[in-house]
Amino acid sequence: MQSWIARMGGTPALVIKIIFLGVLNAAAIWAIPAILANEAWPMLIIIVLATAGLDFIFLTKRFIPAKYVIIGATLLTIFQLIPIGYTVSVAFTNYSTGHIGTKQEAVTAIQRDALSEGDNAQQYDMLPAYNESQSLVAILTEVPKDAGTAPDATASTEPDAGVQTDFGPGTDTGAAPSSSTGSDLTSGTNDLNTTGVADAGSLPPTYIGTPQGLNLVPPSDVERDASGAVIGVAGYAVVPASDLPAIDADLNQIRIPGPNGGFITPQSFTTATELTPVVIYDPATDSFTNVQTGVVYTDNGKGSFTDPNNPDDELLPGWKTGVGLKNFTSIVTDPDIRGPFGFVFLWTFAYALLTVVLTFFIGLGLAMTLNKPGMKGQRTYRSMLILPYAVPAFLSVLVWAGLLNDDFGALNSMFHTTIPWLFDPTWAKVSCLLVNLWLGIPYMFLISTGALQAIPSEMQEAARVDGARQWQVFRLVNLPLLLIALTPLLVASFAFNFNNFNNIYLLTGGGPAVEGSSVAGATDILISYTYKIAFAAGKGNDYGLASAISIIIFLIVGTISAISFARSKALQEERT
Amino acid sequence: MRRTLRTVGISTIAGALGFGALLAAPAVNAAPNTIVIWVNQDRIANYREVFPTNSYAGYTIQLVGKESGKIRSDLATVTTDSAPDVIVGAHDWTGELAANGSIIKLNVPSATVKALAPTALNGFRYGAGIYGIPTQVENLAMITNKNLVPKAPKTFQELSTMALALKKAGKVEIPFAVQQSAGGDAYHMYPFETGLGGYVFGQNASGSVNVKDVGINSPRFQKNSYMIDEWNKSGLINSKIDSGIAQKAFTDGKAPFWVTGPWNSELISKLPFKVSITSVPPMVKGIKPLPFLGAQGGMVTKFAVDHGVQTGANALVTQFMASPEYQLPLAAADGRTPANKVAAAKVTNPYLKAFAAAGYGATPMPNVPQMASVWGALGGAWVNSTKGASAIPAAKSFAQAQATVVKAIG
Repeated sequence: MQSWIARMGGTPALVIKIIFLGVLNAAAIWAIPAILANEAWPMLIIIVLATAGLDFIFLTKRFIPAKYVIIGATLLTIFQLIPIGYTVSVAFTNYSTGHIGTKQEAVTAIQRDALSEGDNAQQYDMLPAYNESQSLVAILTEVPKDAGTAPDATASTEPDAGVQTDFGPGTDTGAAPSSSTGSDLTSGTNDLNTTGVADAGSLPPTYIGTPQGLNLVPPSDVERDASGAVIGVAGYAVVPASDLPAIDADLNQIRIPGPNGGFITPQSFTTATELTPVVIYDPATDSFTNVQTGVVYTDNGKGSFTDPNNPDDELLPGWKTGVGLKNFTSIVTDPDIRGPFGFVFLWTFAYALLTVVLTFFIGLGLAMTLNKPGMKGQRTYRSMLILPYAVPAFLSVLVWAGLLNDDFGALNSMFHTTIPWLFDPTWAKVSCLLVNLWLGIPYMFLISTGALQAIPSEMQEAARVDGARQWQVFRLVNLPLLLIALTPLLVASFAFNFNNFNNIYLLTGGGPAVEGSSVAGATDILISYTYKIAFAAGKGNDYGLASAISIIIFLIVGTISAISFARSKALQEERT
Repeated sequence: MRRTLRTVGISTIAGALGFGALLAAPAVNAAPNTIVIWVNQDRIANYREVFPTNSYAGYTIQLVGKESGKIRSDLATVTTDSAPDVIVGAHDWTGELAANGSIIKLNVPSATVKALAPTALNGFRYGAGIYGIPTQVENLAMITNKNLVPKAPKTFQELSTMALALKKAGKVEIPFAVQQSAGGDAYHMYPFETGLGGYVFGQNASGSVNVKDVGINSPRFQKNSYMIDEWNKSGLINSKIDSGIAQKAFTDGKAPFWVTGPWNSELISKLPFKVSITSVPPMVKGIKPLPFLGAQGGMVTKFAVDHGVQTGANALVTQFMASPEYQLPLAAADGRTPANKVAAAKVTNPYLKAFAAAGYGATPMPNVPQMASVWGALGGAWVNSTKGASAIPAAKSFAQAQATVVKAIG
């Protein structure tokens, strides 16, 4: 060990240091342009100071302890403190579906989506072109409104007849027996490329669209191809197709005042439509007004523009904003959340506690049985016991879900029983525990085996000499010593199972459903219940509420852990 | 000591500059005139087939494969630099993404509207706008083992008699294979919901979803829901059958009927017995049991504006993606029915045609965020009413599901 450290002091250490700091500095330099682009000044300051600080600590000969502490502290900050801080900050916001961006983004999006073509909008075929002074204009040709409005044959023809429905060996599936469906479907004017029929007598009018408005082009100036489609106007240079991508953004900015009070806006390189806004934003009053109904939508202070007279009538999207304690109070006041909270909490507690206690004592029992010196096949037994631990848990749980299936599972068919393993509320709880035991015992077996071997055999011998029986030796010597060593692991196991989302979700999905409870199922634990409330109930994803409940779960688990650790410390002091 | 320190310092700075230059280079060098499209990574090869030259109308097309669910969730958190201009995804994301302002309302040319199956296009309607262009559609159908059932049942009652007789005779293990499980499967049970006269949400005049009209336990459904209790009692429908059990039973010839979708076309085509692909026969006279229609399609993101390619992205989605030129090769590669009517008519794969015919007239799965509350409630009602001896009467469980959904939506 000593020589290893000594060797590390030389050139290899220097190389590692250079690589480490080089990567660190490179990452910082790489991040700076992006941070500058987003104008995230606090982030910039943090990055610069952190990088400079790390460089300084590792480049000086002083601050030896800091060299060791700083890496752990940095990782702790990145992987623990930042997520916790973020969760806490989200818990006080309305971050949810429809409320993910800033107010400015919401206003932009509402204005963008408010542009409507209306029921009877005029569509145009468009050719982008340059006029004599090289400004971008649009050559617009009206698309006749009756084009293609002939009765849609396809909409009313049920294509059942003529479709082959029988398949199998001996059936020639290569060729459909009938193409009648096909011919039905192709009738009608479905060709995307059809744009108005070139009837010499009534050619649709062509205009030059500029920001000033539409100017009708004399028919003699319109250049057409053989099929009658407009390909240009005399005096204007049509933008060649290869140049179109370069003017994408310019084209997207074109707004030509239309005949119906809206703006003709390009929809692609060949089409434009007159759009009118349904709602108009007034920055002075910070409100939207619906042009048709006159309804005024104002900032409701909760991240939405709503009609004050009808709070349910809101414009989407909204934005992310602080809502104070609302997420926390709704846990207490909302009957849908509060109602099942009690029984879910009790089951979560029972599930975690029973799992820890049962896995520990069964694992310890197995460890003690196999701990007998000189036992034959000890290694084989131990390896077999650890197997469930080696298989990925989610795989085991899915296999168990199949084995436990009430009607088709191997368990019931093997023992000729009809136990409703997964569909009866009580039995489903038993199944969850059983599967968790299967998954948890190997771990407890492992740590117990290790801890047992660490107990000095002199102590047990001394106890026996003093006249203690086998049981008394276990209860008064082995168990307390084991508990001192294993309590932190048991507490960790409790905290893990308290939040063991995977096992519940994969085995029962929280089910079976409980009568009278809308969201929580019989085997839902707090974390799966949170998931359902936040992501599978109501109006989409509610990250704010989910964060609030997560904080409460954190406080519960934290309190229980703190109490347990305090107890175990007392136990330790009592012994020593 | 001083020299060591200096060496370390200089080397570090040199290393930093080298790495920095190397890493910073691609970040500032965004390719111009490029349209980035996020597609499902499992199906990216199929999309490569329709962009053989990785270009469209002078733009470079850059396909980025992502896990399907990630396309939806990452769009909310992605930075502008790495954001897509177009996404290809399921129509039922429309509501959430539109409510988030992540995707842009499209003003679809009337020629495009007419070229597409109206029900598929309705899947992308949200509020008063269209937010995507459907490219492929899929729906469930009923697969019948023709060896076990030579004569197709005309009604569900007839089917029930046949299936239970087969079971009684010991010829099959599962009379009717439709998947549920403890967690419920409202999607696979939906043909039965509609067959009895129920629905999830009503429709606005434009074809968008009306969340104020919840029909899980509609009056018509209430009148017919007694049949669910009969199916449960006779063992015809059993919520303990999950996807694996259903598939295995049917492919082993141990179930005469199986409800599944075109994703199993290849499996079905390799079965050693004859099958037919049809809709579930009617339980109530005059009501065709219809599955949910699922559509895949292209949507333009708000980032296309920031990247200066919105016109191109709009054209790509509303014109090229809507056309048979795009949808036919995609259908061939991807094994789904095109949403373009001309392309759909030209599909020669008889399995796809049979699945499409079985779902003819189906309404799209509701695309609103409120749907989140439906899956659990409706799936749970089916599970509870078809779990055998301890089942809850359908009248009760579906009334409860309806109440739950109405309350959750508020």
